Amino acid sequence: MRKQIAVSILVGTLVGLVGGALVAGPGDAWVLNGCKFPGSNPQLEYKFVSVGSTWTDAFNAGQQKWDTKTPGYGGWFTENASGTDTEIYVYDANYSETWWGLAEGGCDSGGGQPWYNDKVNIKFNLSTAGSMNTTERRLVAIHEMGHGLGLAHSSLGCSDPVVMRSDPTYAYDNCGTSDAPYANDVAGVDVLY
Amino acid sequence: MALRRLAILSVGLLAGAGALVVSAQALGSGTALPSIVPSYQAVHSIERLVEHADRVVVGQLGDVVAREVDFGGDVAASADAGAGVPMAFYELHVHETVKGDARDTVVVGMIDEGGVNLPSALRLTSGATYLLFLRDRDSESAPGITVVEEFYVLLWGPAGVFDSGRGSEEFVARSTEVVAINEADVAHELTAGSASSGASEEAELERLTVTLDEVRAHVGG
Repeated sequence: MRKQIAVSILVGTLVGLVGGALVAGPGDAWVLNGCKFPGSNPQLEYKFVSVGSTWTDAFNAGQQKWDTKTPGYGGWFTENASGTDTEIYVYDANYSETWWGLAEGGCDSGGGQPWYNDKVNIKFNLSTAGSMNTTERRLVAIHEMGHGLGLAHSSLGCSDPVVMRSDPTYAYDNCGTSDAPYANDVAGVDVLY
Repeated sequence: MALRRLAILSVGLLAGAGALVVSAQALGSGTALPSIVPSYQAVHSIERLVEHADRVVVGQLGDVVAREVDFGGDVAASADAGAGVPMAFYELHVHETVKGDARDTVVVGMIDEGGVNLPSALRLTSGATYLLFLRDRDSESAPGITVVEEFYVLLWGPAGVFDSGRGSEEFVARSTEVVAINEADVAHELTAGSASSGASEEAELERLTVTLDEVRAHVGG
């Protein structure tokens, strides 16, 4: 009987661990994106390839927020203006679509796989930036960096605000807070790294 | 092809399990497609969609008529291929124009899923009928596009897409952010929705169903 219970616990634990790696449980604001940077404490260099001051300012404010809210990692982001082998490449332009920002990259399927070439592109849309204020642009930048770290979109609301909602400004618009990344965004990163 | 089917099946299974898995899938050639995950302004009501859309139509999506990488019209940025976003332009055969001047056919531009993996909420299928809320684009508002003179894009991405429902007059919102017909009801619906929402955006959350009459009621009102 004891042996049966022990086997059940072991199986249950393994199922829970495997399932937990793929499926966020209720209350978790984060969902694994499938792609991340390798290692447990990666130092990420970013390069503004073609970015005006509007989105440069937003990105810089956003990366500072990530670093402040996740002090255990000693700072994720460092600018490398001349580097050709940086992890994050940042662009802006007047794109025709109505998105605010996007993250772009690829990895093998399976969850938690490293970005190909350790590289992610983050693009910001100047054509929609004009209707946003400084706080909104910072939240979009934090959101796209969250994708880069490996977080995907979440649907949680004000009871557990997330910057990783598909609308990064949801909590700012509806919950009275703009202090992103929020606790559950950070919890997601802690699981990934 | 078999590998692609397997990859799609894998994504479907994982999404079905409640995880949003966005990763490039290995294709037959051994190359991999990048994933693109865009973020959009959220809109929560039909009323607001109608207000901000240049055109509201019911139509059947046709074939791709053109493709182009959108560099945003920035010559300097286009020197680096990484700046571009691949776009595909589809014919849309209009069955009914709810807002905007009546036309039989319009062109709708979207991120080209032939070149990247997109979240499922942004994937449209040729031959399917949709209710679409669209924003117009021309050479001035879309300086990076040259292959079509005038076209439309989805208003705030998945928020502007409604799939066919049970009848020809019923449509279902793609975006779980669209929660109400009237803007006055949004706060209540968001509060109710957040209490029951799960972590994954692609989990089976309740989606708003609307009739064309409910959409028409906000046009010109």
